[in-house]
Amino acid sequence: MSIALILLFIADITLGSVSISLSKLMEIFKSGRDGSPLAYIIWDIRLPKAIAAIMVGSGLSISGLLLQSLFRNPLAGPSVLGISSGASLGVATYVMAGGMGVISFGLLSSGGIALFSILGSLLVLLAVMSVSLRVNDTVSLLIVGIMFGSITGALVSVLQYFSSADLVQHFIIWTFGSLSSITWNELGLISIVVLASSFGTLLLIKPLNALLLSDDYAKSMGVSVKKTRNVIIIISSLIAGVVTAFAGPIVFVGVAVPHLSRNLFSSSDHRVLVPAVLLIGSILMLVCDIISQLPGTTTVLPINSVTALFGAPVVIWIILQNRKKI
Amino acid sequence: MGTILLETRDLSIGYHNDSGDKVLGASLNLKLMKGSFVALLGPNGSGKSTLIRSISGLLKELSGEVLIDGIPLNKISKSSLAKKISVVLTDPILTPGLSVFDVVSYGRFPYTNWLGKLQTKDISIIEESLVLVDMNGFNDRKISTLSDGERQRVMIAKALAQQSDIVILDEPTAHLDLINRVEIMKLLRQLAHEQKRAILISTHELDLAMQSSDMLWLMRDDQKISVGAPEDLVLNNAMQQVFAKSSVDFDHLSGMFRIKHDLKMQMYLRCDDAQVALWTKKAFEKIGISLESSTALLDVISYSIEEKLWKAYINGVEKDFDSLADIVEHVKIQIA
Repeated sequence: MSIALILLFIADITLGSVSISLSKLMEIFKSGRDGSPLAYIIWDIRLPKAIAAIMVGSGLSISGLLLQSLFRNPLAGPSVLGISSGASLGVATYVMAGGMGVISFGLLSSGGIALFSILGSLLVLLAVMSVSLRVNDTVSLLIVGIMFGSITGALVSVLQYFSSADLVQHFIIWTFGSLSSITWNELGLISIVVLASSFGTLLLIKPLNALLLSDDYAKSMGVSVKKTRNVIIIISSLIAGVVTAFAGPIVFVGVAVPHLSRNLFSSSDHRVLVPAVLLIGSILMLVCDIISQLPGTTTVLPINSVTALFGAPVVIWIILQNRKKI
Repeated sequence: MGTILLETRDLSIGYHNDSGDKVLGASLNLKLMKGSFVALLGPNGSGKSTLIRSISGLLKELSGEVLIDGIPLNKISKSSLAKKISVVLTDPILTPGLSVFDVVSYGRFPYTNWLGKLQTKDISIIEESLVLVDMNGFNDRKISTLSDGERQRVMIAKALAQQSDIVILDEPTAHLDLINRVEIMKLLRQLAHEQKRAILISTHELDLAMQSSDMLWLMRDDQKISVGAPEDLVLNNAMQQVFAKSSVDFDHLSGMFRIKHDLKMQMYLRCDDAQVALWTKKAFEKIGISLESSTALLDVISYSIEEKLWKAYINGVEKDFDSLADIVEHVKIQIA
């Protein structure tokens, strides 16, 4: 599977509106940035895009796995706690309020979007956390998350209603998701967050396994459920906030990849699942990115549509295959 | 007296809520001894689960304290507590794909490293635990494919693998059929005695608890608990005080509860077979008729041993029946 990841990584770099041969690729890697258009394409477009695909894919998948384990609910994902919608609200506020001249940043500057996206997800996260201090069971928390999602969704609609068509279009383009606009600096931030979170998740493997039985069973085995729950919420919303800021709201991956991993490895053990979702999430995102480039053409599809359009049937197919085995 | 493993001092249990505390048990002083099998009995809603959760450290007590080996429960770290108390709860296991071995290996959690890696010793303890509950050979079976009784045995094996002196089970026989209920109770009693653990269960199955437990903790309406051997609690009437209601009778001889039927009518029964007489009376009690034994030749209801037939003589008409169902139905129509 790691080999598949490497091959796909190379394929993602070589394929696109301009096809680059392997030997040419090696040459460019050796010569560095020599100012040629091909070198520019490789170093500043394809390479960051491919790395971004890996980071976004693995990050969202980890976040989905954490939330599904926490809620013992296969429907959970970064979008359930309202985190993704919080990020959307942040971005909507920025784009539309910015357009109305309330905020004087340059329109659609990526730094601004990132800041507001993270602020938005953090805001929803804090709201959910403050409620979580009062409710003790995870199902209620899940419902609270969905409610916050609805509220932020509604606020976004209100914002859109009062904005000019031009600004709404800017926002909608962002919601399609994109990996290609990510710069090296943004990539650095995403990578730090995703790598740190993945490392944190490794340390959580044992409590995560304990949570598979029930909160009380986990407690009876010496696990601090409250602490684990808070760490899981923080990690998963940090990832969702940062990734959503730069790549747009990609909702499908977080829910699907943990499922695929459980099915493919027929295991619920996080010692298997954590590395598995990192790999499968990266692979899925790379494949989707290659598809979205529509190799051989100059058209590019929005990544968010590709993940769902091509990913969903694959997930359904794999689940049906496994049903037969049982 | 043996070693005290768990003790409560002036323990009050219940829930905090906005309108104040909901107290379910107050000033409880209970002791759990090594090697004893104790059943906590009480009607639904009397606070059995709350007590179970409070003394196993899952729920904070309202006041007072729980001592484990003489140390207050809240002074014991979570991981050392897990080596002293293991629990079997009513929580359903929803995670798909967990095998029997996986579930029992959870018992080794407090002993393994940060990744939860099982050593050879852990694996042999898991296998031994499965042997103790008679589930060896089930290692790779998925937990979702087991029957309720088998699943309960696996959960007990998990608790055994945790190697704690105290094992606490919340309603371990709920949802089980009669045979499985009896077998689980026998198993727990045997484990308490042979493995020298203190096993506490909550249940509302009075007859089973009476027959298998060493001690009963009987939750009363006044937030207190009567403690004693089941037989003592029958003799000092504690049993009746808790359970006797207008609709049930506690039978001192059998230690069983009986439904109190509303008897509106009396008839006579002549029957020389004691067993048939007993069950005939039971059948008629259900339709509100008490049958009094009589030796007179012409009785309302009689049974002929030679013919194996019941005879009803009502309103000058005699009729034969070969089953209680038929004669009860006939009498019901005749007296209506």
